Amino acid sequence: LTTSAAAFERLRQVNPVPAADDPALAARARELGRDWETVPVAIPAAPPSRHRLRLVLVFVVAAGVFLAVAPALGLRLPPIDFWSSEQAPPKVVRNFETLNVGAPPGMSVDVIPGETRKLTLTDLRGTRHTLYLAPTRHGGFCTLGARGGGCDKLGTIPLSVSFDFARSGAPRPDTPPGPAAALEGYVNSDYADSVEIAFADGKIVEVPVTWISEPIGAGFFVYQVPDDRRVAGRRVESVTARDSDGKVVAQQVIDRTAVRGAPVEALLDDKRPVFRTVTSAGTATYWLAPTRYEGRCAWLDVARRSGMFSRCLPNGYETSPGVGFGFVPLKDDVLIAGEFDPRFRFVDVVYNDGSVERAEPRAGLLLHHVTAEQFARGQVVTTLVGRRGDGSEIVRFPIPTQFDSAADPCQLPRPLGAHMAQCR
Amino acid sequence: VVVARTEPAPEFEVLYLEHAPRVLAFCLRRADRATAEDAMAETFAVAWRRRHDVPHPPLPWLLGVARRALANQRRAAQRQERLGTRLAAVPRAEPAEESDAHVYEALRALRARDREVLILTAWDELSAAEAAEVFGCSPTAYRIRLHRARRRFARLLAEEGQAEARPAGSRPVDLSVEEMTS
Repeated sequence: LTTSAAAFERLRQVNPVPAADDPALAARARELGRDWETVPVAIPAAPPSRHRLRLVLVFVVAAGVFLAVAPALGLRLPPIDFWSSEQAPPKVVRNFETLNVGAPPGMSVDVIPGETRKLTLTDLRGTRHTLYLAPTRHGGFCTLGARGGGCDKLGTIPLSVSFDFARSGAPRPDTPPGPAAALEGYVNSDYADSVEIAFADGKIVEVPVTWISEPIGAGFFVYQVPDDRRVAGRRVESVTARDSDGKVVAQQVIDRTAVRGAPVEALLDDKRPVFRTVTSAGTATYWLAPTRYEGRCAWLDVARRSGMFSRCLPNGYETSPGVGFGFVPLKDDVLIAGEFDPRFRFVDVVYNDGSVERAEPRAGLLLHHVTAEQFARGQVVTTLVGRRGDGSEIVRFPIPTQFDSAADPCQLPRPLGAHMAQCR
Repeated sequence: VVVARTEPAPEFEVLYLEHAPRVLAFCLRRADRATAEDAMAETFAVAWRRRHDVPHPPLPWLLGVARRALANQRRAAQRQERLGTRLAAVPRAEPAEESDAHVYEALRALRARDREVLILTAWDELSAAEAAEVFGCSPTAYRIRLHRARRRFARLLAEEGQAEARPAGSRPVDLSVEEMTS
């Protein structure tokens, strides 16, 4: 591997204009200097005494206009200096201290509670919101706001959005979530320059972002969803972070009923297939692609549809413990697809007849095909077992065979076909 | 109104003669010759208008103005690009040797902000305090950014080196599910 110092030295060596004191350069600068115009110009006479006040007023109005139009023009306002912001009260600092307590080895967020600062965000309505921020020892930060908090330990998450479904309090677990009433989140200033909210009727609103300097290096926003935007057909659909060129950096879908294709964060020009298999619905391809934020996205294309089994991973989080998988019911067969962290060398697919098929994740992805012939024989997946390289078990996932599982195509609401008899 | 002439004041002339070569070099490292010379002219036009406010030492301030002038020209160029004119954002200089090509490629592959941080130190040879002023952040923030940028650049350079060493057609091939399962 190239060391940072060696790479830097190599970069020094390829300086296209190595010597600023080059006589040719100085001569050219002098020559350009001679082009300066020396024509007479008119400058205003001494201003009247009230002119200064008017200038101040003009400046204040101009600053106000700038603040209002800057996001619309894609201009990023200068960041608030984190270190010179107000210290958080002791009660909040103690709250941040608890974030480091009780974490398993290697899983602590390593927040620095003593450096917690109080900041204020302003939303589109002009309402001010208090936000507490503390850096972590790994270049990231932890947040605490009115809607709870969270951490980006490494400071590489491009976009994070949390949302309230109700005007006050948490959504009741026994009721399906309603439309989002308020959104709060942050974007990484290394990758993103603006944030916009898309609604189901196609309207797009750019939200003001309060940028905070290093060591936070992120922009924060709050958006209160108007009442007329909480009705069917007009709801919040997604939140998108864009870079200074207007390209999508990351997107978080709020309304999960919204149709999704390949993840918008993926750089499709650089995608590569990790798995490809022929199913009853056509060829299924499990793709992997880098993102604009140095992360990775994986998605499955099958039967002209795309699906993801976990969110795109930011830079540095690839090795974080985590598993996300799902079953993709097709016409006569089923795909098991998902992402498994690097601990998982093998995944055993266990059937109801005791037979086992060993699948091997590639690049953290897994795709396993349960064929129509297997279903015809009455084979149904009952368990997935994650294993290390030495074969030892890491975790066991029992697969429910009733109702919400799609492990069995019999569960699908589809017309009666040849295999339905086998399912009974 | 009072009629005046825009003849450069002696102190401004000194400022120009002393710093114009470095500003020009700074611009040439980031743009083609015509763009660089325009950006330098714009920089000193701003300096002339604000000649009573130019801080001491003036160089970081001048380079900061030049950076913004280049950014403005780049934005204008991007608008022109839609009309068919193409302008690259990264230095135009062709690598002197073939082995330099992958260094430029790695540099191009970096995000613009990382690239800028690296170039300010590696090519413009500015101190952290000077570069921070040009970049518009605190020296501490600049050092953190530089550290990260150096790390990313090293990784990209290593990848570029490997790509160069890899024989054609050695790109990983797809494996079907059938091959994977036992």
